Amino acid sequence: MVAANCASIGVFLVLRQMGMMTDAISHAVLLGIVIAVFVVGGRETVPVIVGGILSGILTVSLVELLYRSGKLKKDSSIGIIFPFLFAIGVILVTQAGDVHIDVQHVLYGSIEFSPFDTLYIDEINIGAKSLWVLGILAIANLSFIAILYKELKISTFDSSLAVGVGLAPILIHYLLMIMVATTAVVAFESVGAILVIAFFIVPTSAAYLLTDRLSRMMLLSITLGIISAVIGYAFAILSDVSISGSMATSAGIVFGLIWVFSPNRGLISRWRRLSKQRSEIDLGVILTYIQSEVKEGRKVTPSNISNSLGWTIEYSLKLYELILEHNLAKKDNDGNLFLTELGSKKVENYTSN
Amino acid sequence: MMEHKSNPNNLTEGKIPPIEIKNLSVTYRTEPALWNIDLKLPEGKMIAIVGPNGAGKSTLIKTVMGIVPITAGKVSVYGKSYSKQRTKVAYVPQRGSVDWDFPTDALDVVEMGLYGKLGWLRRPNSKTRKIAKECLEKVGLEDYSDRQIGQLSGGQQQRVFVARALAQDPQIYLMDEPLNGVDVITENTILSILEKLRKEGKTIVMVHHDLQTVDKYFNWVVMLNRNLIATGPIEKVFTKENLDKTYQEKQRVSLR
Repeated sequence: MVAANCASIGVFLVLRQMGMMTDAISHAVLLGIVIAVFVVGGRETVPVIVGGILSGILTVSLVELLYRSGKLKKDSSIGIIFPFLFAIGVILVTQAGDVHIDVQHVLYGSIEFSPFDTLYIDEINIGAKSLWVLGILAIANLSFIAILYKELKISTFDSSLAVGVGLAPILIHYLLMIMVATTAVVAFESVGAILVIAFFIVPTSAAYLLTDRLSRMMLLSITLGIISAVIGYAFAILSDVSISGSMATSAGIVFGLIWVFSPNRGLISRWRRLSKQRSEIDLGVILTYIQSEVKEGRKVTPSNISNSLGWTIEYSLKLYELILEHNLAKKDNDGNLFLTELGSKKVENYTSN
Repeated sequence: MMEHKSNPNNLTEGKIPPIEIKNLSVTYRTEPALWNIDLKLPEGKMIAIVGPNGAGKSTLIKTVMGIVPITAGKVSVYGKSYSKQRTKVAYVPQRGSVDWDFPTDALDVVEMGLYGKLGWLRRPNSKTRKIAKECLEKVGLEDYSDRQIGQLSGGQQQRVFVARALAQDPQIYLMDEPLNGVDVITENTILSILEKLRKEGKTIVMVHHDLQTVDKYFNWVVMLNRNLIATGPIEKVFTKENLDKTYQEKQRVSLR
């Protein structure tokens, strides 16, 4: 549930290059939560969420204020605001002797226990409370995105166009931040601040590597989030370690795998493409060389190639055989190399570009 | 079409100009970017904005769009404030202003031009898709409609932006250096499209960097260096004297 929630909104955060902002919000909501707890004297869900949202908005506004008014870069502004707010939260927490919240809980969450915190309606057990809250949030998030998909997309891609056509990107920005804060608070009750960030950013970034389409990125991101959560959960149960920790770890591993193996943007495919381009270029070089040498009436041999082009003799031999094999060049009766029609055409292609 | 040609002074005859700027000043913090600009742009012309780096060319365009806050003065579009005339204006930003790695394709970007007309909450549909396709065809990119935008060449990306402006179907095109660093095909495509639009009575305002081509492509010029140096028909205003004034000693220019 948390996975699906975070991953859907996370798409826009990653595209807006606001990963750090999520970090900030998810930490700074502590302040709002703590104050809410003080005010109402207990960990009621609704006030906690409201407190969290308010401090989330406060964080975003203060960061924007610093960023717009001074010479500070966005990341430094975030770095100033969020530890400040978080630290106040921490101070308040340690003062809260009689109310039970501890920093440990906030940071690492307690997903292990969240199923035991059940909800009753007329004394009937209707299941884990956090599941209900998260379920409602998931519906809210998904409908937020579904309704404002077009507006979110345009203001993320080109905010000056959004201003120009009158689709207030600043309003959208703050709405998005409210959703982030809400999600962070709610998700954090069960899974803690660190896992929240992991699920906002990691599956989304992985999805970004896999697709070129926003809608697909969204679906992939949610799927990857859920997959990492399930794997992490299974691993934690089997080896009896922290659930939230192993979920975040598995998200990281899933991302790593995709980063290496992604068909288009992955490390391996990029490396392959580079080496293919490289040999494509070398082929052009050698064909052009042969053409000009033949024109001048000189003889072309692998050792000549190696000498003139500065390649190793092995590599020259390899390419030499390659062009013979592909019928780009042929030997005449005296053993002299000349370009076939196919080869000449290829040279023309290279030189015309 | 003939009215436009036969009456070059239609500005003064009570017709409302597409863009009118009065006493405009724009400052970034304490640095003035534009200072006391008074300007009327005529309808149905290709208008170049020229000036050295930092002269406020882009700022002037952005001010019309309401993207940059005004320090003093007034900008009106067909006699009213921009916010009432949004659908009459399209803006083509510099290519570097967006993230080309964004997961979207060319057709989608063009369709975004129609989001404003759709308004809040209404979704793009088969009709907007169709218009977007037609606009992409006009710039000769129909074969690239499902290409991720980062995989297009610089010139193609610029043409996608132009197609997006076409989709908005405005009276005024504001373009920020659309011909900067593009290939010949793109330059010619964009120019022929714009010439056609101009003949239809549309107004094109373009920030332009290449002084050699100003008199060839445009029929009106705005010469800017924070202050307005000169504005008017090319043949009257685009003189060596004005160029020297615009570029001062920093950047000597020759008029061939």
